Amino acid sequence: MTDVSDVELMAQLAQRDPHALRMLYERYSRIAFALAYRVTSEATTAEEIVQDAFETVWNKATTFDPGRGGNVRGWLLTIVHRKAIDNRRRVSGKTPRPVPIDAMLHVLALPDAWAEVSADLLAVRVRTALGNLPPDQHRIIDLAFFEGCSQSEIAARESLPLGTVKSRMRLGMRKLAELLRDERDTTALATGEGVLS
Amino acid sequence: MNNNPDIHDHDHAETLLGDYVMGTTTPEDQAWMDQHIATCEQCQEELPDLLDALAALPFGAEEPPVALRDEVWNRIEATIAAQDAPGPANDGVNPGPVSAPPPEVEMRRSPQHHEQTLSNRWLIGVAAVLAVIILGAVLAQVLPGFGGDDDKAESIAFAFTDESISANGDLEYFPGEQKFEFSSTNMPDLDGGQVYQAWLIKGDEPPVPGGVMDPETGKLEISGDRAAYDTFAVTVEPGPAGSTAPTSDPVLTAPLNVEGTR
Repeated sequence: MTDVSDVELMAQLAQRDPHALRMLYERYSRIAFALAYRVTSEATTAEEIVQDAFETVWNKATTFDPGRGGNVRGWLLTIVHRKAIDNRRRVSGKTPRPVPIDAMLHVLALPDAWAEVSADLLAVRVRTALGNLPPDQHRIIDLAFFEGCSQSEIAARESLPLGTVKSRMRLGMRKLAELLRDERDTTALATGEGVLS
Repeated sequence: MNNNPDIHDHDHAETLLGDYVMGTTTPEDQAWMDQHIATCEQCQEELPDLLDALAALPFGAEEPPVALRDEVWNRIEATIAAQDAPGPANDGVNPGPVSAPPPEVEMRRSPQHHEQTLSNRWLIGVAAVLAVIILGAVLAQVLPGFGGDDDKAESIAFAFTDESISANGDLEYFPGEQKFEFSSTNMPDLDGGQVYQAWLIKGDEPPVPGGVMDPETGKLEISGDRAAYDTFAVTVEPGPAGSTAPTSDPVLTAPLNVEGTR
């Protein structure tokens, strides 16, 4: 059963099979919870976000069309991330930026460059890559992704010129992409596995 | 926030790219970037790498000091069982092992959660649908059948903004699912991977993006409560996934605050 792909699970979900949701939950609830917890710093809230996200997947699965792409993991984590950021901004008194769930459906169509990489291995790679970023770039990415700050909010918070924040964000994301791509290519060469891109 | 810079100004795009990828741009900048990227080879080349990096970032979250409790799955299981509770006309597709929902499911959620839920238009829609389903078991078979032929659809009058378009089509709203569906098999062909995309508009608020047209079925869909919006619209957007903000004027519009059948 572990060989069932995410796309196959979504097809089963579209037929209202709760066992498929359970399998998807077993696959991704841990990383979903880690992400929600990292953003909200609160276990109960993180649990509620995970619950909401999987219920959203269940509700939206009826509209799932495998022909439009099957990046289920990316879609699920996008839902978790946006719900967590929205919650964090609300709790911290910032203007929330709720995103309609339908606006996240496009993620399903995005290629999943990490589809062949296990969550545990990817976690090691990402943390290593983040650790190899210049600290000022790492900090900007952390504030933007895990705290949901816009560039202007980061500039105000860090007392930096907006141009500096924009530059560090762009350079940091490029560098992170390079580091991850190098890591992926190196692993692919070493193992002979295909490189998805 | 932009002062209408030239749409081909790549230097300006570079300053927005970080926020754009992170999803923290203003709607105006987002729309500008969508338009710019559609025509900028440099951005088109760079964006996939940045999106790959973005997709990997969730995995940078450290392992939390506490584990996700089994109780969370139990709550999910109870909720989905409530939605798919077998009704008199259940076709047997829905599996049985999921137990009936305990009545206290909603009460387990915190006030903060309720505040979040109540502030989200989509979730209100889902809650309304759930309430209908729980109260009326007959509707329990409607949701599984995407496109719900049994849902009493409301036909909505629409018009093409370009009189040269002579396509036929139907725009329907399914109250039970709070979903709009536009279908047409003879919409004009589009250039270069462009797609038709649906939007819901209320006043001056940023349009809410919906799905793109499936070229095989000629259908496009968008979820939303008809009462919460003024206008349904269709635009032409970069494919394959469409945009998060419209990059072109509508080719089709339909006012939603009037009853009508085309």
